[in-house]
Amino acid sequence: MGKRVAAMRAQGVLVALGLMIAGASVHAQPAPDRLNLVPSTAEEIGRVPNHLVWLRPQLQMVQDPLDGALVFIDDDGRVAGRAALPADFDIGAVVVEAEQVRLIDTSDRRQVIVERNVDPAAVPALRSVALPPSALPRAQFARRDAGQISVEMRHRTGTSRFTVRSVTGGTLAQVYEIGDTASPDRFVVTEEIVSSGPELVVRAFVQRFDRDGRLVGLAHIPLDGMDVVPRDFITVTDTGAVRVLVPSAGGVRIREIALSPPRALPAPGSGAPGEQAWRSLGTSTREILVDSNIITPRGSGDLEPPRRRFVVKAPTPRITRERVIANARAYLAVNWTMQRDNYAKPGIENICDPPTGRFWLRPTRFTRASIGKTFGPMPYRWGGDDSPEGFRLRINWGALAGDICTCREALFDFCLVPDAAGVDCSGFVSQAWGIPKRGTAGLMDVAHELGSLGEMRPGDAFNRPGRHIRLFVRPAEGALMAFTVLESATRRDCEGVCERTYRPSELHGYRLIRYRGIID
Amino acid sequence: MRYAAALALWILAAFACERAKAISTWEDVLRDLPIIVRPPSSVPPNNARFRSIESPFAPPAAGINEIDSGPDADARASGVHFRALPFVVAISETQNLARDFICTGVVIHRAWVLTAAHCTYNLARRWPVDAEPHVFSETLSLANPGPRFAVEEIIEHPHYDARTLQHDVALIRIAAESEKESVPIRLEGPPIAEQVGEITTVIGWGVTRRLTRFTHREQLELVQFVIENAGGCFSYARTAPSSRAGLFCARSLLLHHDVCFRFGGSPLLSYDRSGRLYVAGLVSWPAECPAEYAKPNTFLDVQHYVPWIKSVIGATRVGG
Repeated sequence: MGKRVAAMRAQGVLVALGLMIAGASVHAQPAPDRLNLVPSTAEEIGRVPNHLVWLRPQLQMVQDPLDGALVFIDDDGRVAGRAALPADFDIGAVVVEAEQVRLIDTSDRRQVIVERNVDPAAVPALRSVALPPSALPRAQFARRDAGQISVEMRHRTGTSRFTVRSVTGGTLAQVYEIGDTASPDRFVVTEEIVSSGPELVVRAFVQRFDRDGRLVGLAHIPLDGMDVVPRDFITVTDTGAVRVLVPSAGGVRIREIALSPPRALPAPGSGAPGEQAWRSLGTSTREILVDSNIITPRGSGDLEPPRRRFVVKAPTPRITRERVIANARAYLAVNWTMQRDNYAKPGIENICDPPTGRFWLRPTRFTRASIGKTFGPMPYRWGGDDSPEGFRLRINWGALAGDICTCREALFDFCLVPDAAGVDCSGFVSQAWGIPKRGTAGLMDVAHELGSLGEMRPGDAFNRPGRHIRLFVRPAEGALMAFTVLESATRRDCEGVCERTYRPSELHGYRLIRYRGIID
Repeated sequence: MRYAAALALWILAAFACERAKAISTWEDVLRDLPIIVRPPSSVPPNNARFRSIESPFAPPAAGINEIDSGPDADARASGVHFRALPFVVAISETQNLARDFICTGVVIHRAWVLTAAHCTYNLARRWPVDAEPHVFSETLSLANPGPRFAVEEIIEHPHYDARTLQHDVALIRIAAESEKESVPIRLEGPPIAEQVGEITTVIGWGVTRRLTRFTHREQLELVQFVIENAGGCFSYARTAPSSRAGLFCARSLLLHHDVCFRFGGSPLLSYDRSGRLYVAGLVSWPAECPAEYAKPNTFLDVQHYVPWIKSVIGATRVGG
């Protein structure tokens, strides 16, 4: 027993030492002077920073996943300042220009401009301004075949035309520009799907094209070390190197990678290079350990799946695809009005600290000003599987709206708050499929896996057992591959049921599944 | 006046309907269970058929006779010797029985354990945890588990309803490669209607009194019940006849003792005409603790589910 305690203490010291080395610390609450990070825990996908933009030497910015503020980080990993974005501003695209960075809202109607010479310690209040249609980034893509896409990008400095090719020989799924649009060279991120079964495997690369459309640089960006692949996780520095945002359970790092010349690759048409060849593309030149605040509620549970699996034969009532989508869409239009009782209740504190018996956390978008307002989507509630009708009824009866405090230990009643109403990710998909709530791993018992992305139909799902599940709605139109899903997520810009389009890299590691009872 | 009364009745009816709809989670159902099915306490047990009124814990003629005769001091203290009950097993969410004990089960075939479906509900849905359940036999104290069997498969009754706890029965298939073979008990016996007045025994690692909830030693406990007239504990005004199928009533022989906590899935053992022990029932519904005077409790009628159990196991002869 004594040996075990000593071993545990030693392990604790090592973990603490590792976090100190990594420039990270573990707290239960968000910290304003650090970059916050909520790593993935059992049944909950992590909340990680997004939208990395290199501004100038010694300064880059990234969006904090908890309060949505822009966090300015120097090359030593220290937080140099932060600036709040306007309320309800949801970054959809980032355009880097010579003097400024334009953050474009998902509506494509508003933008926030950040000057590249901004003083991070004294950022003026960021305001959103109308976005003229002419200022939207313009690019046209034409698919030649599974591995080639022709690109035409129009900027103020001129039009660039080039052809992007798959590096691995897989399906070229995504191409999007990063870097300074005023620069003569174009930097694009390419995402390639190399396998769809048993899980989606995506490889990301940065390709650099000169003004004549010739490929002049290339780097492989590993995704496997990331807890969750962020949105816009790569940026370009003035030296032509790329910086990659790497969130992991141990904190956030920014890795700098120098591009390799493309001569390491075989000539077009002479076959795909071996894995060894494309993995060696790019040279890691620097790693910045960001001063991170890792928020892991005590009692979060273990991410490791059980070593031994047992079989469950579960009934799978029949349901049509149309019904599944209709069931899911009903969660976007619950149209409920928050009353005082739904916002707070006497005796229930808004704190997520299971060992102290406090495990209710209000979704952050709800403030006292929300009382009396009507909301469309159903909020996220850990462990929840309310139907839209049941939710309205329970809200009318005074249930707390939502709960984003998650834990997995029986000692704390799994952090389930009977007085809260809402739906979590697996509860949402279970309800859409018309079955009693199952966990993300349990949903694998009522579904079978699909062999390829081409088989995906509306009502199927992207599942990462033990972490998160998303209901597939439709593929994106056009030459590029993206997937529109409905999900119930704790992400700040969602915190409930929402519809979102994901790039393949954001679905890396997910399994493609189809409910057994689906009627085609 | 008549209109006012009608209006009041309409409001009451609307309120009742809304309240009924509000029962949307199992927590609500469990909370409301004592109200929905409050058994009457006016039916006295048939004392004439008690085997021993003076000493209700005295064992009957055969089978459990061995229980008190074991050499283990702890076992004697609790009145149970586990070697006489090799078929009673503890189900755990992990390999750590003391920490993650869920329920009790009973071995009815060398590879199959019978328990309540509410015990396997979370396991089968792999939620809130994706568990790695195990079954432990020959265990007297949860802190000192006996031979361990990994769970290979869980099959709930296809019509199990977590809200109403109807058809609360499940089967667990256990791994055969354990260091010790499981020992089954006889599954089939006389129908419950023929057992009215018989004294039976419920065995499990539960708490029999509310007062001892936190001082509970987590040892195997034994509670004796007398089977009552089928349906005798239901309030007919509040319980639909269809929801009474597969259930029966039994009353604890010791005042203020009942299957209060953690007895889920525990077998209720009885004797057939030949004096052979068999599984008559399972603890399914929660008891009201402290119980009112001589108030009967509801159990799952295992004999009602024998055809389903046999169809799952694929065996013509199960247990014993």
